[in-house]
Formats: sequence, C-alpha cells, structure tokens
Amino acid sequence: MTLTGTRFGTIEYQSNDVFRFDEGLIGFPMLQEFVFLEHKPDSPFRWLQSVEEPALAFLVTDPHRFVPDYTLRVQQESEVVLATVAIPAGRPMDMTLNLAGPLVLDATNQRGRQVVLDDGSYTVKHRVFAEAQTPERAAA
Amino acid sequence: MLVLTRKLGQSIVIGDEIEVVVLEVRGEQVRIGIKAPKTVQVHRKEIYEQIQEENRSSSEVRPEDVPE
Repeated sequence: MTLTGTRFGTIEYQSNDVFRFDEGLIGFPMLQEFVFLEHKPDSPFRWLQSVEEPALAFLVTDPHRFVPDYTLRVQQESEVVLATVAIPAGRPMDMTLNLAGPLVLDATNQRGRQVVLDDGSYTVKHRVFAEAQTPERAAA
Repeated sequence: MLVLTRKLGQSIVIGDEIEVVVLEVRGEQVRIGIKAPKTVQVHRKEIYEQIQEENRSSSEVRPEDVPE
C-alpha cells in the first residue's frame, strides 16, 4: 500500500505494518492507524506516521534509553512502551520526553493505546540533556 | 452546558454506566467520585491538555533537529 503526501514523501507499507489505536492519540481521536518510519538507520528515534492524515507524524523513542528505571504498571508482558519526543525548532538540546503520556503497543495484535499516568510520578516534559549551556552557535 | 445543583453524597448519572458522586466539599475543594466502565478514560483536564500539547509538539519536530 502507498501513502502519499507525508512529510517524508511517499511511503510504501504493508497492511500488517499498521498499528491500530482504537481511541486515537490524546487530542487526535480521529487518528487510529499508524505505521512506524525509521528516522535514520540505527537512530533511537522513530516516526509514528498517521495513515489517515499523511501530513502528521509523531516523533517517538524508547524512553528506557534515556530513563533506564522508567516503569509502567499497566504494561503487559507482550507490550512495548514508547514516549513522544518534543524538540523546539533549532534547539535539539531542549529535547523533552513525555513520560506521563506513554504509548503502549502490542505487536502480537498490532494494537496501541496512549496511557495517562495521572499520579504525578512522571512529567510530560522530561528533559533529556542538562539545562547547563545554551548552544553557542545561536550567537554566530 | 448543563448545570445541576447537588448536595453532599448526591450523584449524577451520565448514560447507563457513568455515575459522578459529590464525596466531600471543603472550602474551594470538592472531592468527586466517578464510577465508569474501564473503557472510559477519566482524567484531570490539566494532564489531558498537557499530553495533547506534547502530542502536538512531537508532530511538529523538524527532522533536522533530531539528534543523531
């Protein structure tokens, strides 16, 4: 199958690549079908590309890579957890992960859901890099 | 918006499966109990809106800003 008009051009995918989110993503209930796109080979980042809305792709990553002790009680054995990633334009050092609204995916049935962790244990804006220095090239 | 006045311990039912109960009123704070099926997600509006905003942000990331 082919998806045209995405931010990454035309995408070829198979129907069994599609993950179904019955409730959509929070704020995007109408988006229920997604495929994963590699960002770059070996990159920890991937794009969760909407099938229904080709212009929309959400940057995601495995939160354990950045927060090794991140735990989710709701997670089943067969499920994998991803976090959405926000990067302000031109400021990669200000990258944040949303650890309070993870995506939980089950590859055995190609289903996904976005979970809300409402108990305050994690933030929606978890900084990955220390706040210390601002990039000097901004002044250049 | 539908506006209803309720007393302590009284409830509101929404459809057949959702019940909202006033559990406690203390000054400006109100404790509310919600009975709903597991399939209905119930959250504080603030966290819901924050996650919505992060979802939007993650869809606006420029590929050239993604670290190697």
